[in-house]
Amino acid sequence: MTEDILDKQTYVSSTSLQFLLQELVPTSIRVSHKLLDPTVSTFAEESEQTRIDQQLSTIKSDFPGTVNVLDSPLLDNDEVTIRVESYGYSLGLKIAEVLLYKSSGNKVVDILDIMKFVCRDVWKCLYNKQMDNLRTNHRGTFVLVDNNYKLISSLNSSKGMQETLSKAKVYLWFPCGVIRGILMSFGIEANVSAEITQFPAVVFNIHTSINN
Amino acid sequence: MTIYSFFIFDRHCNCIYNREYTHTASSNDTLSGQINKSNDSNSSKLLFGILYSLKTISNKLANDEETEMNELKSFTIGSFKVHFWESLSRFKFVIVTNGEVSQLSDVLFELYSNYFIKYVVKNGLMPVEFTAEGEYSKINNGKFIEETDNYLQSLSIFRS
Repeated sequence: MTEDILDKQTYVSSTSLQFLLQELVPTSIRVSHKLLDPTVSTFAEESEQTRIDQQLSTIKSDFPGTVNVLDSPLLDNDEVTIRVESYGYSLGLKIAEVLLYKSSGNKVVDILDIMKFVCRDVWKCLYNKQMDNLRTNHRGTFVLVDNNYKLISSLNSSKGMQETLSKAKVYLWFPCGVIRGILMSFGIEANVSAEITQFPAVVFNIHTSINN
Repeated sequence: MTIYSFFIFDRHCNCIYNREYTHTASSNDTLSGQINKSNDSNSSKLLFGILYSLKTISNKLANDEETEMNELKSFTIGSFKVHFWESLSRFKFVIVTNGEVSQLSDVLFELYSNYFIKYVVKNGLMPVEFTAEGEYSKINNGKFIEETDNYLQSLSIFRS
């Protein structure tokens, strides 16, 4: 093959990707709100072009360019968090195939190599930087650290750091899903959780049943 | 030379940010002055009105189609000078100084391109469509306030 499949890609502006991912949580809230509302007929709706004065959902004052949808009580509802995580999971499954094609020269032989693949290739693809740290107890548990996690680093609430943290936490379900999806593409079941240690640093805890 | 205040108006003619700097002999290091206290005051509305009128007049004066667009940059009232810059998306940035400050176009553009874009537009917890009242009617996040204060304070014209 004379051409690398990835080299033909048109690159996505990192700012555009950032804005798109920022819509993950608001959109998940709107979808969950709609599905949980028994009065709404979800299939009879006429599609209408979005305008600046058209509500995006029946949540109060949910207009384009506003952020009050994030004040919905659904913010940390399981419906929303599972939805955000599953988006990440699906993306992780697919992105692993594409990236593995690119790095087929590098041998991936054990779970530590897979974790390095996540820290280097996956994070470089999504966030244009590598993870900052990788630790393991060699009994199936891994700790991955990103000291300046791009998806949440630009969040800053008018109500202060506590409000920023509680909203940023919901965004973390997405990278947890991505990591879990990538591990699954290697045939590894994992449990992934994330915590904000010192904003905007994020620690990803990965538990597998594989000793190495 | 002195910077007295800094305003941002949105495209719905509302004052979304208002920062007033109080300069006294004893406040050399710490910044003093009010934040978002005069957004709805008559002086803010009057300031917006005079800027709107002058902007309209400056466009009318250049009605010759061969003339370049006439842009309002600043105007002087007595010993005060009002500096003005507007984005294409119609966010208006205003700084009020004393009369000796010549022009602040670069500063106003910097406030838009480096601070407003970074701490408001790219901030997923801030709107770009501000409401007329309530929590989301003003720029209130600490990062924007802190960083713009630091920037303006670092300028030689802030107080000298």
